[in-house]
Amino acid sequence: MNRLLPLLVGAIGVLLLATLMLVILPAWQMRTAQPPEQLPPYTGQQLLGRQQYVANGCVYCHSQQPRSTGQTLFDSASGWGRASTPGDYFYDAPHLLGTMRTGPDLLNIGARMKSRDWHLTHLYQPRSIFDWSIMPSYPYLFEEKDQASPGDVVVRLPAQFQPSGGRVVVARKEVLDLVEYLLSLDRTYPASPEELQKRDRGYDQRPETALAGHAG
Amino acid sequence: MKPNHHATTPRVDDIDPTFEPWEPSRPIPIFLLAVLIALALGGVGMYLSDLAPWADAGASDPVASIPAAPVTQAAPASPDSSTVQNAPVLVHAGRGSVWSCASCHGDQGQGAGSTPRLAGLDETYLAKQLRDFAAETRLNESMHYVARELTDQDIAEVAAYYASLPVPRLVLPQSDADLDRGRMLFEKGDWKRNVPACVSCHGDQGQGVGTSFPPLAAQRPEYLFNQLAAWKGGHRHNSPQSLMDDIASRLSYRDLYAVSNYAASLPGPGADAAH
Amino acid sequence: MTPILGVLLATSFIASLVALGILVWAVANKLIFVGKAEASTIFMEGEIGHPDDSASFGQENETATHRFDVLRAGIDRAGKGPVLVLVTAGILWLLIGSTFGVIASLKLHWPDWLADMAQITFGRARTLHLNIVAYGWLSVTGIGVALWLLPRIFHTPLRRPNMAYLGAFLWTLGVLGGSIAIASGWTDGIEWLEFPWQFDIVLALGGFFLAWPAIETAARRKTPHIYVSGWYFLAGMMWFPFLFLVSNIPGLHMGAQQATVNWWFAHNVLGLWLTPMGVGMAYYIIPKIIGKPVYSYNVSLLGFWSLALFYSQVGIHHLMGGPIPTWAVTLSVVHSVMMFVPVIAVAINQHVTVATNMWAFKQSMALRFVWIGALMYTLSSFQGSIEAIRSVNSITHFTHYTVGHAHLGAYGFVSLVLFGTLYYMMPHVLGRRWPYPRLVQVHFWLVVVGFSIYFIALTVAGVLQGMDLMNPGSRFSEITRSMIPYLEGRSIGGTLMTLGHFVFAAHFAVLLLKKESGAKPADVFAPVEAS
Repeated sequence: MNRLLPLLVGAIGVLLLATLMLVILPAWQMRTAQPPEQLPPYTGQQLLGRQQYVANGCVYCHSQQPRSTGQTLFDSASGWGRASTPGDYFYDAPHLLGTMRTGPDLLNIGARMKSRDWHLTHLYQPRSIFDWSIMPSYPYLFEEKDQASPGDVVVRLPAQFQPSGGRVVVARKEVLDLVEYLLSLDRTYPASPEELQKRDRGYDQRPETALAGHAG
Repeated sequence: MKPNHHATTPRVDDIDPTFEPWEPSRPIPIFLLAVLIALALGGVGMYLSDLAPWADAGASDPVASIPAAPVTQAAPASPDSSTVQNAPVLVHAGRGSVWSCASCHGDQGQGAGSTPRLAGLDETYLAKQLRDFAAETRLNESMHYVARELTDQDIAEVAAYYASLPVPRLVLPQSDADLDRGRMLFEKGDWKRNVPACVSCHGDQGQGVGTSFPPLAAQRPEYLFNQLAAWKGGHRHNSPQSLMDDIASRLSYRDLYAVSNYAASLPGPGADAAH
Repeated sequence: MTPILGVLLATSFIASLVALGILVWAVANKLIFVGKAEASTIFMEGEIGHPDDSASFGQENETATHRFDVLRAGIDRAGKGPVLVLVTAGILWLLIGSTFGVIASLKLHWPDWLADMAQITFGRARTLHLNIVAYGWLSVTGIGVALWLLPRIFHTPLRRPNMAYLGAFLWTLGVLGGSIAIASGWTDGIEWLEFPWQFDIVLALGGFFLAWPAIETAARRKTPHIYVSGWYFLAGMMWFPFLFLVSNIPGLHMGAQQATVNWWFAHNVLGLWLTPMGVGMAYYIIPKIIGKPVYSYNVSLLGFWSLALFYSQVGIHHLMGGPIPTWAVTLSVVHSVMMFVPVIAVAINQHVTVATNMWAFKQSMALRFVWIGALMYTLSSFQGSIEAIRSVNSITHFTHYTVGHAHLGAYGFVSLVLFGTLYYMMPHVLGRRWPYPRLVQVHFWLVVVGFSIYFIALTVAGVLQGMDLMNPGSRFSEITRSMIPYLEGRSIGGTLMTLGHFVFAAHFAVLLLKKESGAKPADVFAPVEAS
């Protein structure tokens, strides 16, 4: 090629085609004016907690997109919930879909683990519950005190993880917000057929093979 | 575009003898063109196979045909306030390092997601499970964390408490499980695979029998499937005579999924049949 | 909705194929000239047939291959300052970025190590590693090489070098500010786009001031023909700003749709920014070192346009099985598989050229780095095409396998090509040879051995992890436990690689700072015609 302008124009043109295909058309199809009925917006505290999730990079180990049963039953057997649809992420900015499962999927953690105290223990020291866990501990989201003041939330810990000298571990506001966000992660309400059409169906059973599969 | 003629005549003494400056430009190899065409055909095929069946032809679709509303049971009575007030401290407040039972299992013992319903389960069964968790004959890290701190009296108290609670209403999640297959397995089993019907041990309504066979009806479906998968996967071993180990190993995961969701949809005892 | 989209998809795919078909027909019918003459534009009179590599040592024709020609030195002179600034900054970012990578890797099997320091919790250390190596090492050094290479292929000095200084300064400021922000927990939260958009503005401005000199130099070139490396670099300099701008506009994208933007951006950073830099460099360095034009220049034209066409649409393969419409996922799968075409095109050119000249591979350390890098491009692209197939992706999605693949591309390919290019380039820029040939060997073996351990560990781990994640009978505890030895292996590999980088940086520092390298005056600025 010998001419600069056609090269540059051609290059941008090709990228515009890709933008049409990967950005504009999906947006046209996926974005709706209305969220799913049963999905409430995040409260102020949950949004602050979501900021903590983002700031500490939880998304780099935890996904938030359970797979369909057509692809695998692992996600269902783990209690991770139904396959998600675009509407489930209506209020999510930034999206936290995630690309790694070093840790479990969390889209429905608030549906299956509703104990705030459990989350506080786990976030302070995951190995106090799961000795095999490689999740980081987050001591900086908590503070050690000689004794709890009124209104403090004290973290329940086994003896060997308690600080020495009778001190207690108290949750900071950041981790209380974070736990509020985690408890809000519940997308177990049913997805409408229109929403289900908008997720990746490439692994789901075809109608004709599904009927054939009944015998098995 | 005009050809670019440098008019380069290499000097003879500079030429590397193995280099041929007058070779014709090699055209695009046939091989590469063949790859391009083959991939193009493959690509078209991929589009057709992935997209065609899902064009809205109105074909019946196992995923889309699930009921839009969740299946729930008719509401039985909630525990009365005296039951709640007389609950052991552990249940609603926890103690020391131990979280309160209700914080995971719900105020009415109804469970949540894959955390099971405890309300209305048999007292002896619950006590055995707690001891198994403590001894790690049944594996669950969170329950082990709790159970290892419990005294015998704690175990007796919480088991008795939960056994006394009425079976609550469950809000079931949407699933694409094959409920017909689930019902078949539940009521008749699959004797081609030496799998007895669930009702033969767990009661004709799945309500549970005695101290060894817990209720399946109105139990969290995610929990049921999780446990059946654990038996099949070799991670749960505390079933009497390894009954559940064998049964689960003979069924496919899809069958286990189906029967879990069917059983969970059955109403608990004392409730009017919801459907 | 779906039938309309289906028709649109089919139309675009067929249109792309028709366009490519026209291109092939035009080349075959000599309407577009990309022949040996064009391929030879990187050589000056009399250079063909003579190897040229200042990073080869110990052969009889060593002095002949170390040539610092007058003409090109003149071309180099204008851009020398900005190029040195960019390359030095890039190498510093390499050291910092690699260190964060090792920290992140160690934390995965020593989770309580330095856990009180919020700034380097895994979620931040990993992010710092990614952004610093992508926007610090790869981008900065790549632009530095571009500003050196483009004037050479255009036979004219770099225009507006002062603007390039400004661009380098702003870009470095952007990366530094963005990194400090991430360490303090201030992040935009989207993978590959974590720098807060306020710092992205600084980065974008810097990029503009770096690209302008390149494009102006291209516009004022003395060669009618733009050599293939130029296509890649110039197109990359148009693509990257567009991608960066559209993805970073705050408030424009939300929810699952934002995920499609995320991965349109991230994979296009790899395919339309980093890959063009790596491929562009290899297309220049390989024939230049060997002293012969590439094998089939025609193919390179097809390779460039098919890369642009197909690579730009693969991004959604990161979201397979996710809350994204089926057609978008299938689109990306098809285009990922079509990537075989440009990759084979590049492979034909680069590998055949080296394979028919293996004496050069044995002799030249720079070529060794560059060609192994080019091989890794072929391998990682083939791996990626296969990884996008649904049945394979079910296993590899969400696992360490993808991390291994990403590093095969960004490190095994682009970084290795960068190392080789720098080894070739710096003697020309500075007019003196690398002082310690042995250190080049040490660098080479450290990174090759280190990366092999790294890649094999993560690939095996990923397959095991993925198969377990598809088996409902697996327990998460067992999956995690089984990963530990491989994660430890990755730390070992990564540490070796990082050590190699420190060796390289030290060697570079000596080259930069030691004015006296023992080069005899007769070696320096020897005219081209002397042989």
